[in-house]
Amino acid sequence: MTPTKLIRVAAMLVLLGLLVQLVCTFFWTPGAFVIFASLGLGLILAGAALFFFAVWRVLRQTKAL
Amino acid sequence: MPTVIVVLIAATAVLVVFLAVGAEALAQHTAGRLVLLGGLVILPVAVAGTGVTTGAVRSSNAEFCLDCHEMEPWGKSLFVDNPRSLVAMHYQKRLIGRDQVCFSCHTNYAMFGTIQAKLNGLRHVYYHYIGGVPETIELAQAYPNSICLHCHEDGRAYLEQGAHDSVRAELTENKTSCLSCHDIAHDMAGVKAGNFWSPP
Repeated sequence: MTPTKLIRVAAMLVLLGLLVQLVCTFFWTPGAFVIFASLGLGLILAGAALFFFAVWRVLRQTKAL
Repeated sequence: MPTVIVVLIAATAVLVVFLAVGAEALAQHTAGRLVLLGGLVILPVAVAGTGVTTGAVRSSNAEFCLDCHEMEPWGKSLFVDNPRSLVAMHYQKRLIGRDQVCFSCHTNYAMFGTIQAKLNGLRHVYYHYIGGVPETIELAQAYPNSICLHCHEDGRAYLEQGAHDSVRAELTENKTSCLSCHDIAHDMAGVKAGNFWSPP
């Protein structure tokens, strides 16, 4: 997968996490808060990790590391 | 959830869409890469983190605790007309904040007390949605005196009450429970009987 594609997938994960959180805010119950904090935040963190992985791969390929 | 958080999440989501579309062009130069870093990592994590923190703070509200229908009778017990009911008296005499009425007495005031209370809450959510609500709702652990003493230990009513003199050390060391004398916490019989206080 190219770095751009990886970044796009990372963006999709972040977007999905934000959308999960957004939906939860409209149905605010204890269960929604658990989904907000676990699934929503989890997807965003996974997206951030994938973004850093893409950057790390580019840096390695260009021998910047 | 406060509107500002909802708007922030929505705005960040829109920004992420734009960044995903323009990722290829942005990745070509340093400024663009910084925009990607800020827009895809720093901003979303900050917004989501703020949302989780706000949610955690708001989960201390009584409204949140009473959101589950099985808690309804316990919420009603705040309004029972019984001077011996700890919950009713603390609530009706405004000895504790009305929004924090559950949390004030169901959190340990030790260093990680709030975290422990939230984890307990997580277990309650599990029971509500998956595990099934037990027929009789009881405290998971014996009620520690430290929660009562956190407010009452140096209070006049507690210090001047002669009945406390002989057991003060035992109460402090949690050897005798406050509830052994103050034995009606939630007056569920009063709730069942519909014995509620109505303001004049």
